[in-house]
Amino acid sequence: MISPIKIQELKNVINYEIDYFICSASYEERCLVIPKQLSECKVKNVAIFCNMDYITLYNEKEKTIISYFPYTSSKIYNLHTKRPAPNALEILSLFDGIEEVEKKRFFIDTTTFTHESLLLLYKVITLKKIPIKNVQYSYINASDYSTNEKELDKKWLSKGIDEIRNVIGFGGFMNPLKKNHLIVLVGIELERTQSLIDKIEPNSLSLGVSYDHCSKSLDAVELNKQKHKVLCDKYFNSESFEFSVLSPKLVRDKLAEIAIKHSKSNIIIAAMNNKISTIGAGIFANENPEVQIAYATALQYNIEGYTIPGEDCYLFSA
Amino acid sequence: MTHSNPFDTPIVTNDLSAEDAVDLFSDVFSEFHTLRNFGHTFLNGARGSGKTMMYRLMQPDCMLLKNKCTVQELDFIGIYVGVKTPNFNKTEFVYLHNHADSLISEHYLTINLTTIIFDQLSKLPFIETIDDLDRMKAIYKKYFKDRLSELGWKFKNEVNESPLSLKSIFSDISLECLELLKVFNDFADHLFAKAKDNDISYSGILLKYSNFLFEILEQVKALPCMPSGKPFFIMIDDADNLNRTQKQIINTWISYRTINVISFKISTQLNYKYYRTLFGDRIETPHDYSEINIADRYTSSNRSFYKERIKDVVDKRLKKNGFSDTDPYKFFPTDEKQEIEIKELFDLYYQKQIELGKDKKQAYDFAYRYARPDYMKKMANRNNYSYAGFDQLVHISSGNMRQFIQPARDMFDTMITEQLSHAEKKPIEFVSDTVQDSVIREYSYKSFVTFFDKLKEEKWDDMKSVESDPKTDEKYKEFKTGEIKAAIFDLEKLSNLINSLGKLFNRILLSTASERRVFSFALNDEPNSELKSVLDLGVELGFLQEYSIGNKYGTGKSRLYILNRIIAPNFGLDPSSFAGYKFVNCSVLEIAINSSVNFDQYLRKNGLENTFDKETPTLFSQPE
Repeated sequence: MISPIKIQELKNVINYEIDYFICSASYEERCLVIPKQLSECKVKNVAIFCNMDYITLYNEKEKTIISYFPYTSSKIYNLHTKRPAPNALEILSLFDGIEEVEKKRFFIDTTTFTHESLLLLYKVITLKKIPIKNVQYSYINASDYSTNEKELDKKWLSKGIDEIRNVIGFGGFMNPLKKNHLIVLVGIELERTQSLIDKIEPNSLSLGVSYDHCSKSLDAVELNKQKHKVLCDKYFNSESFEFSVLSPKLVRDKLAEIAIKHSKSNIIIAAMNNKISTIGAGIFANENPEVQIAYATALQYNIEGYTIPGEDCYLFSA
Repeated sequence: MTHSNPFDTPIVTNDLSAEDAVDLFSDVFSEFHTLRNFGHTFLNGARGSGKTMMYRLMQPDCMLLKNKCTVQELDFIGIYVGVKTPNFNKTEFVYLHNHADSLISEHYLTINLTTIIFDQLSKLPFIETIDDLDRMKAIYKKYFKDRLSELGWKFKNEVNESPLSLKSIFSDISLECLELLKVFNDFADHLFAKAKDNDISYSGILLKYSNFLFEILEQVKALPCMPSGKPFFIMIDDADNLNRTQKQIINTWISYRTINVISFKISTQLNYKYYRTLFGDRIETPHDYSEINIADRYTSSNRSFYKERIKDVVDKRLKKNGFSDTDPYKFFPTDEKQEIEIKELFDLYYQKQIELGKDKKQAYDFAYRYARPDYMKKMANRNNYSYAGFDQLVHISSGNMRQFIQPARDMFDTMITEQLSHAEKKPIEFVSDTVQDSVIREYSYKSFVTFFDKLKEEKWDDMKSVESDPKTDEKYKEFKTGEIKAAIFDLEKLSNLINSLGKLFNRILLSTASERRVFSFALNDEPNSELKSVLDLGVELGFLQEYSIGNKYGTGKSRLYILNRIIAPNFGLDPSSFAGYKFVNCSVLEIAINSSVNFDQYLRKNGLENTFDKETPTLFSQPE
């Protein structure tokens, strides 16, 4: 289990030179928190990923990040919601441009990547055979979610789904002679989760609820449990399990346990909780290439009230 | 004893055992007989309309159970192929574009289908002879083993030189094709790494439907133990989930007209929309395939079949869940007080018509036509009209089984919740009329108001993202935002139209017009492109069904549109209205699509029966 550090302590903890700092700009304020702290560390290169479909909503946060590193080489990489194939190539191009990439040290702020982009990033890192010890992942928590909604059951992060697809690199092997078992790491996005389950129509379903949390908002924790319960009631034949959102390795282990139980089925995972657990799903799928990770693009994000940054920074490796 | 919800459905219909499928679901094929005929068929229906269930019942295990026959006596061998997005359509396939994607995709589909087909064949209880086995060994050698070897395939599974049964050979074919699939999957997994160097080279074997799968099946079909002269039905479910290249491939296979060996039965959720083959031409109906639109059957004179089907389904579900009384009318009772009052009015009208010298049929028709509308009209608060009762719920479901089952499930759950607050817990033996009414009203509201709100929001977000993309060419941006704006306006216009029509039909219901139970409208003239676009959208989204009927002048055809009855509770309409449709001028509908307020004002000013232009036919006319 990862214990957080206060974000102000980050610069004291990172006592080595970072060759590449990788982050994702966003409409969320959280996208600035770790870069700001890291600006007081030794960083040689900054790579900022931007989703071009939402960049006008960023209020130039990508430029703000660049401004934190005035003496560092910075580059913006463009991603698009509806173009996963070029996105994968764009992420690959970052690493292809690095000489002796396996010797470089990377620091990644996972916080405001989409789940899909983060998994793509993780996949590329593994394809490039960058040693685990050379890659530090980080995540800043939120002190509150959906801040423009006071009522707990009205809080939302995203609505609707546009498309469901496998994450490139995690297509798995869907044996047509086997049934499909879907494992969902449930977050608070009920509607999106329901739509994903209804679209995939798995033969069996495991719904995970987190037993720990990184949010300081007790409401968010309660909301997660509520959403999980609603799903369990709707999909009454599903199995329920608990998972950690603070340790990718524990997530990996839990997924392995469930997969063994359903070894006669194709395993599809939908990681819909925080980025730490998403990396856990990535680790598991990477170790088990027949497993697929599915991703549902959202139709609408609660841009106005998505999150308020917290103070806890989680550092982890994959 | 507490009953579980009899209207719970498994996540996946195809997982139902043959016993459950045959037990729970009635025979629908009297309505859909073309589905079981030779020939390619597209079966189109909204989600929940029962397509997968039909395919389940067409699979051999169900047919053997129901007909108590042997495999040889079957009319066809149905092979189920479910197209779930994770199985057939990988994101990586995008990289194949311009890299022989049709050849490679056809290979992928072919081996997928071969794997599935021979696996399902291996599970059938053939009554086989030595002759069957010898012939199948020869087929295996010539059309499978030698064919693959010639193409350079190294068999991964040990070839069984002395198989003991058909099952063994079918299973071997399936498992070897699975190995082919694994190799292909490996190729697909590396596509993105290869794509960056534009190095999408494929060096594996390529199999095609026409010179591999079809040829083997043609030979297998001729085995003595197979149904003589009967084809395989390859039932591809949810074909909307295929990507465009895959659809082109399926269309090409359909164009080959191999129906005596293989008939494709393709189900779609009305979103297939692509009928071109790999050669660029289109497949057409009835030339290349027949088409069944499930909704059609439930608004034609065959709608009684639908009601009987639902009765049967409810009866079976209740029986299976241990209910002592499985009569759907008792399980979904009406508002008794309301129905008694309507009956009293009905009897009064009937008697009056008899006194006026009408015969019994005429008197009955009159009473039936006016009793319920007049009752609704006379109510002090029309919102108190109850939509409870099995018949009304069937009508509201508009021919879509899921539109019956889902609210039924919610109703039962509501009964359970209500019961939790009672000190004395009794088993639930029926759904109260108040619960039926409140749940179906909410369902109706969500199906219209919430649905439109959500769709419009989605489109606005699409537009924002296009407008905000700095890298998009300005001309393209202008084109794309124009397109999205048009889509948003069409949605708003459709919403206005449904709103206007809903309120109009409510007005007619409460008027003194001779036919008041109106749910449909026919066009006096041809719509302009604006109106046509809105009407087409209404059909696509399931709010309208379109037909053609003889025009009122007897000089040709008119377009007829029927509203989905799911909106009846939302607008206070009588959902049993099948009888009446009104002819209407397109110019009037053009007012409706642009503003339901203006439409309302127009009606107030001109009245329901007045003409708009004396040279043109009346605004609303009775059908002859």
